[in-house]
Amino acid sequence: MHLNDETIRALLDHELDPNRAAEAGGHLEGCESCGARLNEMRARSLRVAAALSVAGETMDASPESAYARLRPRLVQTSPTRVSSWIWRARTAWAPVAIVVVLAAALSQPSVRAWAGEFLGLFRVQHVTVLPVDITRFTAFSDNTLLTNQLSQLLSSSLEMTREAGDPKVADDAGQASQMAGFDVRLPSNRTDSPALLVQAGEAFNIRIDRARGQELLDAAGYTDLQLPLSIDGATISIDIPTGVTAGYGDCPALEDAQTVDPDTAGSPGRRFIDCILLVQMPSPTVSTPPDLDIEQLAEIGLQFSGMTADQAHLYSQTVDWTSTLVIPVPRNGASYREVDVDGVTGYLIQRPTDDAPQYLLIWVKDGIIYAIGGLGNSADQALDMAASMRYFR
Amino acid sequence: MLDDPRLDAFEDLFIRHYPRVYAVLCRLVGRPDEAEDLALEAFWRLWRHHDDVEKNGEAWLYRVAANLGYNALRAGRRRENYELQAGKQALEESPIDDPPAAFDRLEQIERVRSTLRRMAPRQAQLLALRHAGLSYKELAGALGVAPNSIGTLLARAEAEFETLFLIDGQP
Repeated sequence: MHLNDETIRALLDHELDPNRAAEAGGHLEGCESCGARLNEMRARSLRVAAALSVAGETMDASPESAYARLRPRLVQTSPTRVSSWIWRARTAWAPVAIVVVLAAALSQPSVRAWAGEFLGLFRVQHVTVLPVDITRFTAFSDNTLLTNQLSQLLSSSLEMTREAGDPKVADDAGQASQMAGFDVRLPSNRTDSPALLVQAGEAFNIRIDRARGQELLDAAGYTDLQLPLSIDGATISIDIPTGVTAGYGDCPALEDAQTVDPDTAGSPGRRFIDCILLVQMPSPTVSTPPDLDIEQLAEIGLQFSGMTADQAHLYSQTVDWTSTLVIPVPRNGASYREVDVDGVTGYLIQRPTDDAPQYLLIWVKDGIIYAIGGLGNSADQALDMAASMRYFR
Repeated sequence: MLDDPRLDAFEDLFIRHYPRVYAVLCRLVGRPDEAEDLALEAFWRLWRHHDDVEKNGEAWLYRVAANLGYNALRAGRRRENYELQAGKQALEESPIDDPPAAFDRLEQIERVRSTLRRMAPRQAQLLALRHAGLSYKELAGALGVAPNSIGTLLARAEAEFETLFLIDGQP
């Protein structure tokens, strides 16, 4: 019985295990036709290799220089923040990511752009929701040229004055409070102990280049939106304080800082369906030049989100931009309602997808922003947790 | 720069696999600049989909690279004649030690590309991957076939390549 082509070729390529190789070798010694077949395959393989190697004879592959080309792109999408593991920042849900990972999500250029518009505030005391037409942003984010231009604009306009810290594990609420510099509250209705992570936020300055910003708006088709000349050269300083994340239930390892896509069947996001995250942090500090017209900029941002000029003006009058955190919520992708929570008015935002529904409960109390997020159609657990918040001094 | 453990791990993976990914793509598209762009695209896609390909991300990487390379090979057909002529003209106009050898090399590259283009995608990809140094196990993972069928598939692919290559070289 002769050797088949599979065996001969595998022998030629040293891919047979030792026993089979020995058997085949023994057969070849006594079989002229198999030996001829081996020689034919060997010769052909060498000829093909020679032909292909001409195309392969090129510059030396330099991994280091190639990686240097790729790295900036990776960094732009790098999920560096603890809390971002439960939602991947995507266009339709980026507003929620902004809330849950406020300090961290600002590392994403597209979220920074939003934060720059809506964090026209000094101290957050209230929260409100703004429904937006997300298709406007989808069209923008799908345009590689525009998103690259935005990234370049932000890269050149943005100066990091403090890098965010690495997430650090806290043993209990007391230690977390000490590390964070504010009194941490946790839900007393939970019998399980959370995994606690404390992370120092970043600080940065944004210097407004009015001409380039206008160019970007025009290129994106928002020619009716005119940025005021007075903003050119203005510097906005944003300081994100330390935040604390408490993970309840079966959650991915927080210190891994992995992103989780709840929409992908079989993904970690769906495996960790009973994971609930509680994030809390003091209000960010935003400093702007005294003559910067925050309301005017906010109206432009509202028009960018889909409102008419009249609607934007009316809406703007109802919001105290110096003390309110405005959360953009996709109009067709999520629902929201006001809720009484922890003695204040908060918002429950829900995204009811078929595969992986999500919710976010957010409120502000005594200058601390709280957010509880999880997967599932029911936010009852989150509401119960919020109702039982207390200090663990 | 912001610290990210994922970035560090990804950089290690990149440094380890880039030379072979690049070699695969060079064999398929024949142009170093295009091969580098496609290699970076393959790694970029791995980065973006890393959480979906937690297991056997390397096989996924080579599969994506081979697909990108083959698609680029097919797409490049229309411009290859122009570029071949342009390349020949450039060689004529610029000082080269051995223009005839350079011409021959250029034509050889185009002949290889033409041959690969006429093969079934999996056969062309198999040859490029194997001759870039992937083992049978890696080939099986990348192409989604049983490891004990690689030998047969390789033998057939090389026979097909040689047949078409010889036909292609005939005046």
